[in-house]
Amino acid sequence: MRFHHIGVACKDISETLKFVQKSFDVVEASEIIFDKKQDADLCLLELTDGSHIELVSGKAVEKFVAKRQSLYHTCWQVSDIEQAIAKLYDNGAILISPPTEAILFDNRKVAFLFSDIGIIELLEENLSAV
Amino acid sequence: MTREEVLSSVQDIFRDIFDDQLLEITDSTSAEDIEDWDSMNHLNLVSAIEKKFSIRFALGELQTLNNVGAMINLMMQKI
Repeated sequence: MRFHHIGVACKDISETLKFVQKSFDVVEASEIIFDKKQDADLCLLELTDGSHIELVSGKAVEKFVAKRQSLYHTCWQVSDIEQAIAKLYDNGAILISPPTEAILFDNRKVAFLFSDIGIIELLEENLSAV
Repeated sequence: MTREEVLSSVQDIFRDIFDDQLLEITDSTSAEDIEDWDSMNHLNLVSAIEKKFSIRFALGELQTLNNVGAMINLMMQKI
């Protein structure tokens, strides 16, 4: 399991994007994409050190925004998403969204779990890039 | 463990999560009665109940826990 990005809940994704671009060394920013399955607008940013920030806005994060809680999730890349879900479940995590293709990640599968360290997104490894 | 004992323990969990030591719950208590009972706190409740009672709820079951009574009924099958 390898750390991939943090997901940040935003009220207005364009406004937060401006802040991040002015404040961090962003080398790549995706288009703002609406993901029907997550019911959210998404934007993935890559920084010079190779780390990533995902900006999320819309219904999926409206409770976080209302509470002014910016950190939405941490995302971890895994080689076997089912096995990773089983391990987290066995350790007490609750599956809140089973594996589904994610448009932001070239239709690689993502799953979401609720855990003692907050919401965890699991992202299927990009096997073609290995 | 009797149903009343389970309800009492669950009430302690509700009081802890919603930070209200005077909160009284009944079988009919639902998210409509508790302002802060949103989807995140629903997960916090489920997680705390699972830990306290050493039980697990299945993914499909989470959607059926619409009020305290439904929660306790399902718990009684698992305890």
